[in-house]
Amino acid sequence: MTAYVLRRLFQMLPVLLVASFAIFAMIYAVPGGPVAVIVGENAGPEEIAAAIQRYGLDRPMVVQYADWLGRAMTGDFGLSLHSRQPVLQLIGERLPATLQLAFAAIIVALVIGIPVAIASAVKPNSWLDRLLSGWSALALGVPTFWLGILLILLFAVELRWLPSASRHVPLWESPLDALRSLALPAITLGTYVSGILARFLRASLIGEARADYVRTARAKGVPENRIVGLHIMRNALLPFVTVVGLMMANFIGGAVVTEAVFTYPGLGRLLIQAISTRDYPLLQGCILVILVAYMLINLTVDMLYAWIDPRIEYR
Amino acid sequence: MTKLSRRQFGMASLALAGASLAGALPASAQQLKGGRLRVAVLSELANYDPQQLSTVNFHVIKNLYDSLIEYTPEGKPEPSLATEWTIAPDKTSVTLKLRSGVTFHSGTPFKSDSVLATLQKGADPKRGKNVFATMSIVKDWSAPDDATVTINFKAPVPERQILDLLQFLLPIDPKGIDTVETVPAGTGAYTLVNRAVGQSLTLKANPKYWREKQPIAQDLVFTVFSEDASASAALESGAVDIVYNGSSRSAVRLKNAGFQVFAGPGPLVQVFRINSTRGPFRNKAFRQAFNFLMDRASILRVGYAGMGKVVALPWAPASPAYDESYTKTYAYDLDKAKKLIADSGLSADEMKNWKLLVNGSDEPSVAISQIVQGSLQKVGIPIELDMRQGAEYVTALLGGDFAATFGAVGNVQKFPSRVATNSIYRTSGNPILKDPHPHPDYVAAIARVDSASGGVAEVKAAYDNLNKVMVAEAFGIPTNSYDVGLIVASDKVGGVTLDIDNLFVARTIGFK
Amino acid sequence: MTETLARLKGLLGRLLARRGAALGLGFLALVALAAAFATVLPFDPLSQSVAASLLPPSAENWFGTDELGRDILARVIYGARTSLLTAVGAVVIAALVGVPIGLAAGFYGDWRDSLLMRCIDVLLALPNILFAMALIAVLGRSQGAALIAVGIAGIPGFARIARAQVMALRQLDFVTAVRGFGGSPGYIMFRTILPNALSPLVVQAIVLASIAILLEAALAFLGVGVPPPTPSWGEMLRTGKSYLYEAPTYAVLPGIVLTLTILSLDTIGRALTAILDRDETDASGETIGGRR
Repeated sequence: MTAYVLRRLFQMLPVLLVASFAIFAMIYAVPGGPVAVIVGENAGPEEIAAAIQRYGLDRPMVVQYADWLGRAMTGDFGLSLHSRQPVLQLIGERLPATLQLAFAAIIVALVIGIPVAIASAVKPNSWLDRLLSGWSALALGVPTFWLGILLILLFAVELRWLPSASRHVPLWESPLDALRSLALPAITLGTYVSGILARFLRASLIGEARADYVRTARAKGVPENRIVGLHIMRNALLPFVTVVGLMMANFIGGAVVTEAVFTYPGLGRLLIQAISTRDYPLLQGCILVILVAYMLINLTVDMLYAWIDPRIEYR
Repeated sequence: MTKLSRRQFGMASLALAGASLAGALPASAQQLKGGRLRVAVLSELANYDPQQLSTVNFHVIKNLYDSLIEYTPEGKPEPSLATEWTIAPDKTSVTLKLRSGVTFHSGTPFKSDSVLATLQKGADPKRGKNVFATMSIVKDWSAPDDATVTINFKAPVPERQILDLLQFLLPIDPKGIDTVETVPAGTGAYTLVNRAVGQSLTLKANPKYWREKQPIAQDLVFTVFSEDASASAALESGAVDIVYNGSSRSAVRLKNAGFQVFAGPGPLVQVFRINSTRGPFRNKAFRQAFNFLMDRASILRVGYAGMGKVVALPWAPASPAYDESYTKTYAYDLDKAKKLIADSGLSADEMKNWKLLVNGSDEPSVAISQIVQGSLQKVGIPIELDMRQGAEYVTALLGGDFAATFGAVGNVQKFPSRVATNSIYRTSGNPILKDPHPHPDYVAAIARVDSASGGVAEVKAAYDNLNKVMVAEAFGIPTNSYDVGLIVASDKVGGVTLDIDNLFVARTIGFK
Repeated sequence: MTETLARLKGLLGRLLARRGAALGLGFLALVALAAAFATVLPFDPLSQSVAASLLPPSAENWFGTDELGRDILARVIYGARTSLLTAVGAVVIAALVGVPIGLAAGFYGDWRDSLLMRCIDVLLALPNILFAMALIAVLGRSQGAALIAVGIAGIPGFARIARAQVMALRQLDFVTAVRGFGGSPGYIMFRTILPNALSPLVVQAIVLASIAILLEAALAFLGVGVPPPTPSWGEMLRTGKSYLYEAPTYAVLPGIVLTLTILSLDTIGRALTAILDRDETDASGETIGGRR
């Protein structure tokens, strides 16, 4: 097992390097470096030249990248060019917000998705199944930003129950405020994921229900709810874990649209800001965190697999 | 003239904010209580140096520091740290009497040495920052005693320009002047408690503050929001008491929802900047057509929710050069525009051979650029928008690498030649128009304003001449003024003071 | 050729027999027709009238007007052009790049497979939307940039499916037979295997089309889509969102059209999958191996 994990971690490195270099090279190629943003609109040519020199932006791109990489290896991610704060600190402020939203969304998705999947899998092709399949299609088809807008219209503009824009309030600081702030973005993101989960879980539940061991159990007279609860669920969980994991991994950087709708201070929007201001160190830091999170979650999912299903063995 | 009472401040702000304040009671009509004032701001401050004034630290400077003199919202000078100022009859010097009994936050007494140190910093090309350009009129200075300072000028200087300089000088503690970027060193109503970079800034009342019964609120907490919408939501949910520097659109909406809105006298003016060294814009008649092509009423309505005034010159109403008649003369008129376009003698292809650069990150700019595009379409000039985001836009703006773009200018309520601090209006080293300046008439008109130190008639003639030259050269087409530093407050808050530069002044604010 | 046409005709018939898919096809046809004949219709998406801005829906402006007084329905119709153009363009790009990669990777199966698939992993590791935004930062905002960015995001999907198909087919006897006759790798991949792997790729194309429309709208919503004044559904939602208090229908109505378009594509895609699945189970491999 340890050897397997180590090998997987080792395999990640080239992908990480290539992806991070590719993005760096892409953004570097764009006209409009970070200097303009640093010195401001009314700066003279001397100030511009001084800033370019100070931040080492006159060096070749590859040199700048290597320099960054070398420091990053030692844990020094540098300062944001724009705000002059440590990149790690900036990311550290956003990451908890991102994780909190991701967890809340997954919980919403599970609460909606699992009952929907079970209800529709019990009697495939019944009217209930069709209705619930329609729900899944809707959950997947409605763009998250539009759903977000509808929720804001209803809960913030009309009813005035919830704020139209969210802040990050740590759950342990003020649970009520945190929930009020999280409710709309989590429902928005969670609804979408519930569609994926419901479809996936329904398919694997139906697949498992046809399996031989279920027929055997039925023949033996094992009660139906025990069959569904114990045997089918357990085996259907396997692919399900993958989907949940993939969603989690995607949310680390990919919830940016939901973040934008609710002006939520997540990692995705930090990255967008870094792209827009050409803040190279911040950009690199964000991408690295997103990539590492993606890969680690993938690895965790694979290991969870082994834990749920002892038949799977990793070497 | 001694110090200004809270009552006078309250009345002044009420008079100015006038129409937008319907229903709000004058602050003086009730006793305001202290407490913890929570303010949402939309920018992280750069540092505590009062000579590096920019919109990002508008919310802190006037709470940590005091100016030598203040302006009322109408532009009338008032004593502050200087109790008296005497301008020599030949206008080549000014002598100040300094307030006694004032101390800096560190405990250092406020004396003439601190004013000298502040002047010295301002005149230093490395340390002077934003004050440096303003100091160019100053020859030297001296302090006959602890309570007197005399500043000598290189040549006779118009009175208004002298007053602007005094208002722009915020004395810094000589002991802390070298570390002023990181440690505030002022005499202001609040002292620094704590700063969480990117998140919040906490100040507390200065117990030894020299203005009686001020500040009212004991604690002042600024929370940094990255979005206008989030700040508004925080105000609506009661998480903050005031939003400072939010958008006009949100202000209008919040006002309708029962919040108080205060607009200061120091707005920005949106200017359609034209690069007269390029393409069809080298043609004067073609440029002049744009005076009539701006649908200013629509621009103000769509871009700024109608908050502001349509203007054809880069002046706020408080500016001494403000001239309402230009707005009427150069109103939106497609027929007049067409005539000038025809006069230009340019071919249809030449006229459409440019793109309008747009700051894609700025919602009002996107909307108003489309309005101009629509007007151009109507006179037969189909052009494209060149949308750029963030750094890409600023780079193009900075390098003068554009044909035309919208960009706001500040310092429009001060001495008229101060407009030349904005890049498009610079008289030398202009990053867009380059050297030598392609509009010598404009350069001469600014110089004439700067040297008009004689009688009222001479000064007025100089202003009129500048205005005439500006619309004739037409390299900057102002469209409207709009509010910066808007204050939107919950109805529990009273006593808001308006600053001439729209900086945030907390010392008079309390709870009803 | 005629055979393929006949097959497509048959497929269309079977799709129309399903109520959901028929509705979806109907709506898509409506959107496509409106987009195609937009210039003939009496709608102008650019004509401004600020005095008549942010009006609610009325007999004159069915969807109301936007902040510049433009007709929102007209902009929705022209916005369909942006969406459909992006969808078609992105599918073409993704298929042209993704399918050969997948074919080659699956066909050779050695280090070339590993190398190509690692490249695909790199593409997959970053969320689509962030990758697209970075690319648009490089290319500048334009219809072309949106199309390319979305297209590249679709490459992994095609590559993986094509690879899986090759792996399944390459050992079958009709492929080994062609190889025995001395067919070149290119001939085998593109003339022998590809025609037999078309069905899942067609489904993937439809799936990608809906993803592309969604992604384009999301990019526009984030402010990096096709630049104004060109109408785009996502851009309308973006601007409409800032006028929620003044004109709530502004952001709602274009959203309905966008959602229905995506739902239609989704329904068709699933119906197609179901039909093809049944074919394969019914014929138990016959459909795959039967045509040589």
